[in-house]
Amino acid sequence: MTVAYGVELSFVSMGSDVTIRVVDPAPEAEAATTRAREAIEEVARHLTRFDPHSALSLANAEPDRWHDAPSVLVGAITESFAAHLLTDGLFDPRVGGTLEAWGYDRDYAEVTAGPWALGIHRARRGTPVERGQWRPGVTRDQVHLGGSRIDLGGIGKGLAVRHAMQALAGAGSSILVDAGGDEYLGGPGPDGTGWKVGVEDPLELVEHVLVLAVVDLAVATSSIARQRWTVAGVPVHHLVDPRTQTPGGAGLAAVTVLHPDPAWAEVWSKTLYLCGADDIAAYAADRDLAAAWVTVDGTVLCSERIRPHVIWQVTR
Amino acid sequence: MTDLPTAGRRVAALAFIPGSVAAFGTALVWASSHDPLATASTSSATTPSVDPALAAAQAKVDEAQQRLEQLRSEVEGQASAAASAASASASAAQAQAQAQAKAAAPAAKAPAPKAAAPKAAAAPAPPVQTTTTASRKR
Repeated sequence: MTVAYGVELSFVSMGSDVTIRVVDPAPEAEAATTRAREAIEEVARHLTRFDPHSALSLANAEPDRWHDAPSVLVGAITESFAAHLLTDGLFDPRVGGTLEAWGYDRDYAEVTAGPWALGIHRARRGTPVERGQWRPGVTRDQVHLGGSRIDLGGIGKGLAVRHAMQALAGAGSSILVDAGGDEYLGGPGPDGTGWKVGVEDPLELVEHVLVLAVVDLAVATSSIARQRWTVAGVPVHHLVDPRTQTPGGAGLAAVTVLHPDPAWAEVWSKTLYLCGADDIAAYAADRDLAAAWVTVDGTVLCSERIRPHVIWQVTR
Repeated sequence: MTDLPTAGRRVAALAFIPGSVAAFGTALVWASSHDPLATASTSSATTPSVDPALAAAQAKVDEAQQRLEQLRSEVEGQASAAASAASASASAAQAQAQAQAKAAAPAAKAPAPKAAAPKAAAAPAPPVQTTTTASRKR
């Protein structure tokens, strides 16, 4: 479908393509779009672990002391700690160390050793490891990482989209912010009946497995469709289960969550993914989450909360 | 109005009637031909007479078959009407959802999207304006 948007801006940030669209733009839409881009780039600049001079990298270099920090990092650690508590530790930024040990210590494009067949990702791996409670500290302009190096990749894009969406308030009748697949859809969309959001097929058998109608919600997908590789012949992926320090989400290929807040859409999609195919339905129901997931054999399942948004589902 | 399952069961039940009546008639003929009290008659071999019991049984068979045809027509009619009603209902719901969404002022707080019934099994995916994906790294 070709839709003419009043304002559209695309650029690269956080190693991903970012797109901002404004429907029926107000006079200040251009300026708002510029502010949204600046907000995304600020998050990227401070929260990346691939730049040794970023605020996060500087804190990671000495995680057991206090650091002066920009408000973006203070906010990210505050939000991450809340997510850590609310998910009973399933959301844990300390898994960054495991990713680095698996070679993901640079941009993913430079991580070699190609992908493996999704179908083998069925059984849980690893045994519980002792990790203790993560106890970071924050003040208005300082952070303490609680003694552990951390990775904010599990929430960073969501925070970037949140800041952008706030910058775009009032810019038009509808807005879209897409940061590499994590999105916010504001307003009723170009045709006034809700944004039509396709959910990618992680098995790549078809283009979409679901089409959702979305108004004023964020959507995030956690998937191993792309970021999976091998380490000494062992298949791994980027969604580490903090309980075992092994690749999590046995039996699942992807999880998509709708949530009013972009950062929490990302948190819940990752948390639900780590539940694995056996436990995700109960966890989503217990938390009343709007979620859909695809198993490694291609089965598509939905929580009750997301069903009102589903306008089409693949059959296979 | 007879519902579809009930009518279906009636058709199934009636389908047994012609067979059972015919079996009864056949048994009657066999019994008559082996009646030790029956008077032998040469004329009966050349000029068949109509057995009243057999005629009555045949009439019942014909009646049952007619009723069976009637019920089949009724069931087919109901199935066709139900399919039309479902189609009309889905169209009406979709039209209503679109009308409600369009009625909302563009700048106003948008309503929650109307729950559209998932389309028929083999329907192609509708056009989308964006796609949520695994993290798309460049």
